[in-house]
Amino acid sequence: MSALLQVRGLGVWLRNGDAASHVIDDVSFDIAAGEMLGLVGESGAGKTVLARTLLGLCRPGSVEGVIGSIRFEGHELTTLSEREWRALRGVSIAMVFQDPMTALNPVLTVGEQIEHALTRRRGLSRAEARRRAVELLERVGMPDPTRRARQYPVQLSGGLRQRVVIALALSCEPKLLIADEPTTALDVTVQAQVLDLLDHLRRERGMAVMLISHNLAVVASHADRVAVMYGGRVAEIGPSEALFVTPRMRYTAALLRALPRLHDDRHVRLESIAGRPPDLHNLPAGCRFAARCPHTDARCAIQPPLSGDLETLHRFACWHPAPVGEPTLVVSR
Amino acid sequence: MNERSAKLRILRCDAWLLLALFWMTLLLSAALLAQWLPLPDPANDTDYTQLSIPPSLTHWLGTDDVGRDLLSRIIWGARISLTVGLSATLIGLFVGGVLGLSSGYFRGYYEEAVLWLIDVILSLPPLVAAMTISAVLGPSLTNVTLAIAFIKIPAFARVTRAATLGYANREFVLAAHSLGASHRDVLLRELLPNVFLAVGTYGLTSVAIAIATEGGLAFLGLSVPPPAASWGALIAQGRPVLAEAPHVALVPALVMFVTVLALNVIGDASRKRLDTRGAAL
Repeated sequence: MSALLQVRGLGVWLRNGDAASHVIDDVSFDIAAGEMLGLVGESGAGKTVLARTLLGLCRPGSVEGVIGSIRFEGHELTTLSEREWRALRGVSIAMVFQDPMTALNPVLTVGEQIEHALTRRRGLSRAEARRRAVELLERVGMPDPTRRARQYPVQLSGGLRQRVVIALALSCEPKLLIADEPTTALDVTVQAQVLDLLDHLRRERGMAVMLISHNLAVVASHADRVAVMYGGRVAEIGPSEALFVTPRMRYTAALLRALPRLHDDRHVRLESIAGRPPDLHNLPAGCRFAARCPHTDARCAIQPPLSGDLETLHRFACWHPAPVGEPTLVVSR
Repeated sequence: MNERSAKLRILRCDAWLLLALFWMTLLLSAALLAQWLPLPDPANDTDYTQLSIPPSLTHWLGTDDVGRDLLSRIIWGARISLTVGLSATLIGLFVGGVLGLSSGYFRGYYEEAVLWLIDVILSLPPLVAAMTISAVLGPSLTNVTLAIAFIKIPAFARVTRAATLGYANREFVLAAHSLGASHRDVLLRELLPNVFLAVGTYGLTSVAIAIATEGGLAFLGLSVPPPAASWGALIAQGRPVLAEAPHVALVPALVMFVTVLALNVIGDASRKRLDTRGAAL
């Protein structure tokens, strides 16, 4: 499998006053062309920083240091200049943002925003860009696209705005789309529509998608593979079926047990994970989940490596993995 | 449709705004059409039989101490006062806006340098600074405009920078970057239109302040040289005869007062209409 995106040993430190926090630590994964990789983790696990690092979008001055390698179609990205980054953004890798309420410029019509990307980046004429913008809006399922293109973001609902954001991200035909919590700000019914749209678009265009979410159900039903992040590290990564049915890393297992089920009795106390996520300014030396994990011993003071090698499909970082054979979640696809 | 009726309702409720708009329209059209209006020459048409007379049928606003028609003097003076007020604001807006927008966006040492420059200008008392510039360059329409524009730069730079800082962290700017937008694109297309809403309304208020400042300079004889006279010069001219003929000083003062007030009312109203901070965007 030749990967579209190869991340190896990525580490990111962000400046935090005088100190630096180690926000991403030794993260490695691949995304193949046309594949959808789900990335889950709680707030502060490093999902957004990871996504922005892949686009070189961390605010200059806030990044203290980056190590490791990001290769896109074989080209190293970590050494790019700002100018080279600009040439790559949108065309090779594009991003869909969390909150469609703020991801659009309030003083330009949605049509103008898409047309601008088309004339600027793809060199289309004004008339062509106008036609193409309507086409893009139509493709992302915007009803009455000609009229909508002339409207301002405030005139559209959240779901429609997220469609515009997706159309904008698709305008330069990226090979990889990073969707950073694209449905968090939307109603549940609209969430499903947007996810189905992303799924449909990647199948139609063979575009790879990295779907970031803290919603396990969202990821389970759409992603081919899933990576679970905890405290800036990849705790477990594998095909979504395997990962959700037989999670091995204790954090993933605990996370899945914490999900409410429809067939549970009413008034059942939901399981929760005791404690809180590690403080990124003061990280523990060993396994970052150890403080909250009931299965610890002396070995956990040393960081467990991801099991297997890069060829292994289902990998996890745990000295005491959960046994296989306790189905945790029934995934309906 | 709805928008329009809402707009009308706001206009109907706000009688002050309507009055202010009416006054500014009247003043602007009079100033623009001054040479075609049947007015006596403001500088040379002296009527020695009617010195400092109060408002009458032949001289609607009376005459000054050398018998010139005050209405004509005020309308011709409006040309100077309004020109200085508008152009000084536009220049200040442009220079301050460029400094504020770029420093709020690029940050770093550049921002520090701009802030330092602004602090230096702010440390000079504004009227004294304008007087000095005007006196050194020599009193003329251009110089007095530049002097007032100069003391306006810090305020515009600060307001623009504050607005830019707010918008530069918004997600749509990040989204533009994620599509590979250049700095120029982000500054001109994403930030400028948003920032302008905030700064433009401040600009209206600023025109009022500029007119008053020009009045101050003219009162001190540091504005446009005679026989042309702005409102400030007219007030200064009325000062010696204040006891016998108070209208010579009071009428131009009143006109200036009403104009400054009208601009402030319009500025406040537009700020209320355009304030998007509270709106769900």
